[in-house]
Formats: sequence, structure tokens, C-alpha cells
Amino acid sequence: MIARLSVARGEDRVELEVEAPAWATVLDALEIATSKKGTTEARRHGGREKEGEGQKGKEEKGTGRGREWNDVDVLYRHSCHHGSCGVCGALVNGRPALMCRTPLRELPSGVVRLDPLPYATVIADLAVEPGPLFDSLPGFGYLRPPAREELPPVPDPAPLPLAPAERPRERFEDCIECGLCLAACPVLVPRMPEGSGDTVVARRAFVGPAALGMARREIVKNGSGSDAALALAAAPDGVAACDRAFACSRACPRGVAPGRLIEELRRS
Amino acid sequence: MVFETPRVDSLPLRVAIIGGGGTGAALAWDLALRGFRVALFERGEFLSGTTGRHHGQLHSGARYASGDPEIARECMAETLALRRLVPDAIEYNGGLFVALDGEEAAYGERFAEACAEAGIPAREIAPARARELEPGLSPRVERAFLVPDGTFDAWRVPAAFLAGARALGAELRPWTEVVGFDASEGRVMAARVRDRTRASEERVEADYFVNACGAWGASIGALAGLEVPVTPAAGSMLAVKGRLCDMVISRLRPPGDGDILVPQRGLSIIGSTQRLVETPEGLLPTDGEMEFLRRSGAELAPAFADAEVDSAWCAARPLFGAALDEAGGRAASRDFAVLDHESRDRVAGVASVVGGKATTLRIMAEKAADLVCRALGVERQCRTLETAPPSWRQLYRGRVP
Ligand SMILES: Cc1cc2nc3c(=O)[nH]c(=O)nc-3n(C[C@H](O)[C@H](O)[C@H](O)COP(=O)(O)OP(=O)(O)OC[C@H]3O[C@@H](n4cnc5c(N)ncnc54)[C@H](O)[C@@H]3O)c2cc1C
Ligand code: SF4
Ligand code: FES
Repeated sequence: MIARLSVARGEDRVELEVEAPAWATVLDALEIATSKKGTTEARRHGGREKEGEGQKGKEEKGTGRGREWNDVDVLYRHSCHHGSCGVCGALVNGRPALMCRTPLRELPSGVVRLDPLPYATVIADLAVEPGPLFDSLPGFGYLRPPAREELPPVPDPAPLPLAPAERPRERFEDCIECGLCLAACPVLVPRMPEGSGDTVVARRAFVGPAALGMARREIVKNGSGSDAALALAAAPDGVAACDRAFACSRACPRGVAPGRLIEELRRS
Repeated sequence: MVFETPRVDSLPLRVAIIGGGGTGAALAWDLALRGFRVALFERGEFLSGTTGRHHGQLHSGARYASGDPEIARECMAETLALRRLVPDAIEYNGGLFVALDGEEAAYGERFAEACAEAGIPAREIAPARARELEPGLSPRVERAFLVPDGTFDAWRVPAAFLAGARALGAELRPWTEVVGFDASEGRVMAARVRDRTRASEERVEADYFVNACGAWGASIGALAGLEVPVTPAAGSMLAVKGRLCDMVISRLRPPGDGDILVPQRGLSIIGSTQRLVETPEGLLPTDGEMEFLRRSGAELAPAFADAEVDSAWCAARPLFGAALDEAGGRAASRDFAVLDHESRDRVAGVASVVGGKATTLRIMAEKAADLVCRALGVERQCRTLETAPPSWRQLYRGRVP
């Protein structure tokens, strides 16, 4: 299928057209469209700049040269391509989503509009600096609080007794630290910006759904860390600052339901 | 948890790393700990090449024991090291190798011997016990071995190393592509880099350069007239919704396609495939690969057949060595090499790290940093085995402009 993407570039936009398989995601389309000329296996129509530049149409191979970017160079964050690293968030047709988990065919036909996530500072195009998210997250983690000061001894290489009853299975928290919940939160982002690059001022200080969700999981899973978690929740920018819009739970790509976790925190 | 920045005895020498994948990340941390001034250039977001897309298997080395004992030993040692250094980015639930037919069962002897030789404690358990441990396993299991495999977060392990390097003052520059080198009298003096955020170019001088561009390594080498024997091979992966196992489940047979099932959070991922490609750019799985992977997943865990597909993607393997077999390079070694271009190509001041696994990122960095020390005539020991990096979250903390 032919996908058409309209990508924010500051106040301006870049239009891309690309041929992608029917099952492809927005991220796949973006990656194919911005790969170096003549280097992708998928057939494609290449990128086209909006302001009538047309196809520059260089068909050289990209091997051995560093510069033959496709007609346009678009900056976007991506890494795992399967909803696990949390870096590919963007506004897809105005709604926070992971581009790697948004199949083109699930979107209305026509141009797909891509804008950077509004809670963070834009580096360029769709790429943002996710500092505000990571600044909000607490230092504890229930999986195995790391002993950073003094390393544990070298573990025994022998396989462990592994029946769940003998040794609880380890599992990462579901939250992939993608920040979509922050981007969706009406307290943190009172209005969706028309173009990118708008300065969005929080309505009030709020640590945000990702951090509070983490605090709740910490209380449930790791009793020893729960004092810090309770303090985080009870601070003025904790649960009290939440408006109960539940936009976070709707935006979360991993079913973490931070809105519900915040409600549970209010009661604990 | 407060990360105490380790004390470092600074050297007046600058090393530039090209490539911000797992290898470049671990190298930045290693060199910074040894006291070098480090600059790292990554053309996109960190870990946007192969590293972020890998399967997530923390290899005990059992997979490679019979064909590639060297990498098998390294994997075992690194599994133990990473479990100490970045425990919060690892799910350590072990692994199972299972035989689904007579031929695979017969391979068990060779497998067990090879593991023993490589120092990997593999232990045979009854098929019934294996299915008790992993109820989602195929009822066809004829033989099973428990191995010390695990899963790790493809982003968080290397991101912790990047965060550590940054805490030590390394200049980490994503969105910055190396587009050329300036050499004079047989020595690389500077790299030309393009800042993609401003589309501007600049010249960056350093005392030494390391090419850590993985599957892109050959084309980066070519920019400096170097011969870097890396072949990109596309590997596809298919994830379905639902966690069908907690352990890493592998087929008891020599490494091939579609023979590893890895759990990742709420997903189960089967991988992978292999085909040689001209360049590592813009790869996608083919329809044939996806069908094959679906069938392969269902052979290991029957519920895979009807589970809802979550995602499918493709990554470029940096295969080391030009001698690849016709089957698409499966027989090529998974081992790595640090290439000293002064002795290989008579170009001083530059090395390439090629091949390897994500599991072996730390040891690859150690060997590369050892070469940097030798080439620059300084004696600094590797410290990455004794120094835990900060949390991956530190990479972006405190960076609100
Ligand atoms: C399908 C598949 C599954 C795998 N599964 C596993 C697994 O389960 N466990 C495991 O241990 N290993 C696995 N591996 C292997 C592992 O992923 C790789 O060996 C490892 O990630 C390579 O890391 P790297 O840093 O060398 O390369 P990369 O991560 O590719 O890093 C190279 C970087 O260089 C950058 N770059 C390229 N050109 C330039 C330039 N001109 N200027 C600046 N930067 C540039 C790229 O953007 C890239 O980020 C798998 C590999 C594949 C393909
Ligand atoms: S709670 Fe959900 S939306 Fe928020 S950071 Fe975690 S995974 Fe992303
Ligand atoms: S690329 Fe990792 S979550 Fe989308």
C-alpha cells in the first residue's frame, strides 16, 4: 500500500510518500521512507519535500558513502520496533501512540499526521528529549533493587531450581517508560499544540502518571521500598494534583492503567 | 539509590567512537573509566541500529557450545558479569533446550559434552519435569536440558553504560553522522561529522578513532579506505501477545532459523531468520519469513499458532568474516574481532570492532579499549567488571534545557 505521512518540522511540515506492506506500522513506513537511496528492499516512492522540490531522484547505492540520504532527512526516535523500549512515541493524528505499534491499516485512509510528543522538548522533527519523564521517575525499582555501591558476588553459573514454587519467576514491570501517559495528561499538557515546538506549561505541578504508577507497583511488590513510594504519592504534586481524567490509562500502550493505580494510591 | 560517580584518573587523550549501539555504549563506559576523554557519534537515536531490535536473549553460550566454543565461553562469562552489573535490566529465569524429534534427541549427547567443555552447566531433566516448569511447552518434548540463559532488556543494558559514560563526562552525540575522515601521513587525524539537527558539518579531531558501527562497519571503514570484513544479514522476528513461557526455550539442534522463543513482558517472540543483504538499511520481514516464524513458534509452544500477532520486525546482523556459506551465513562465527587497521591496512589511529553478540558487549569493549591503550602507549586496566553503571534512567535525567 502507499502510505502518506505528514511530519512536523517546527512550524512547517514534511510530506513523505512510501510503499509499504499492508501490515506495516507507521514506524516501518517512516524508516523505509528515510532510508538511504537504493538501499531498501521494499519498493518505495521515496520522500518528497513539500515546497515543490519534487524527487531529487538520485538512485545511487548508499554503500560506502555516508551522505546519500533520501530526499529528506527526518529525525525520529526508534529502537526496538516492538513496543518494548518506549522511545518511538509521537502524536499520530493528534493522539499519543507508539509508532511501532500503530499499523497503517488501523488508521483512517489518507495522510497520517505525525507530531512530536508535547510533554518534552523537541530536538528536531519528531525527536524529543525525554528528560521530563525520566526526571519524574523515582529511583526505586521492585524487580531487584540494584546493589550499586557494592557488587554482589559472581553468581553461581549452575541453573537454578526453577519451578515457580521454588523460586518466583522474574518479570519486568509492564511500564516501558514511554511517556505517552504524560503526553495525554490534561494536567501536564492542557492543550494539544497546533504545530510542534509550542511551550506547554503545566496547569500545576504534577509528578505525572508514570511515576505514580511506579510508586503503586512498588508498594504492592516490594514492601521494603514502600515508604519512599508513599511519600511520593502524598507530596503536593502527587495524587492530589491528578484530575482523574484517566487519559493516561487510555493512552498507555502496555495496559498499565496508571489512572487506576493512582486511584489505588489515594486509598493506601 | 544514588549512583556515586567513580573516581577517574584523567588522561589528556581523546578517543572518538563511531556508532552508538551496544558495542559503542560499552566502549564509551570502558574508556571513560580508564580516564580517556570520550566522544561518541551516533547518527540517530542511541541504539537505533541492530542493538535495540535484538531478541532479548542473554546467552549462556549453550547455543554456540558445539560450533563456536570461543563465543560460548565468552557468553557464559558475560552472562555472569551482566547479572552483577545491571541486575535490574535482566530477567534471570533460565533456559531450556528441548528435542522435538529423534534426531534432535540424539543431538543431546554432543550438546551436553560441548556445554561441559565450554564450562556451561547444562543439566538434563525429564521431559515431564520440563513441562512442569513450562506448561506451555509442546507435548512432543522428548528430551530437555536446563541451561543458565536469561532475558535482558535490549535498551536498558546498553543505556546504563551510556548513562555511566555521560556521568564521567563523555560527550555523547546522537543525531550526528560520521560522513568522512581526514588522514595525513597514514594516520586518521579527524572525522567529519554531520549534525542532523542543524544539517551542519564539522571536523572533529581525536587521538584515536574506533569504528563500532556493527552491520554498517564496512561502509564506515570504506570512508577511511579501510577493509572491514562485516557482512550484514537480515534477521526477522515475530512477537505474539501473551507470555507463553518465562524461560528462554530453544531447539536442541545446531543453531538455525526459528529455533528460539523468548518471553518479553507480555509478549512471546520467536526468532529468527537469516538472509544476506546488501546493506542494513530499511529492512522488513518478508511474508515467507513471517509464516515460517509462526509455524516455528507453534512447534515449540502450540499456543503460538493462534495467538494474536503483536509485531514483526527485522534487524541487521553484523556477521564477521567474508567467508559465508550459501545458506545465508549461518555457519559464520558469532565471535568478534578487534581490527587494528595500522597492521591490517597501514592506517594508524583507528580500529574496528566487528561481530559478536549483544550479550558480549562488555568484553568486546574491553578488548577494543585494550587496543586503544596499546596504540596510544598508556597502561590503564579495564574497570568495567568491578564498576556498576548507573540506572538507564540516568541517561536522560537532568537534561531539561
Ligand atoms: C535478529 C537478531 C536477533 C539477535 N538476538 C540477539 C540476542 O537475543 N542476544 C544477543 O546477545 N544478541 C543478539 N543479536 C546480536 C546483537 O543484536 C548484535 O550483535 C549487537 O546488537 C550489535 O551491536 P553493535 O553495537 O555492534 O551494532 P549496532 O547496534 O548496529 O550499532 C551500530 C550503530 O552505528 C550507527 N551508525 C551507522 N553508521 C553511522 C555513521 N555513519 N555515523 C554514526 N553512526 C553510525 C548505527 O546507527 C548503529 O546505531 C541479534 C541480532 C539480530 C540481527
Ligand atoms: S504507564 Fe504506560 S503510558 Fe505511562 S510511561 Fe508507562 S507504559 Fe508508557
Ligand atoms: S521502537 Fe521501541 S517502543 Fe517503539
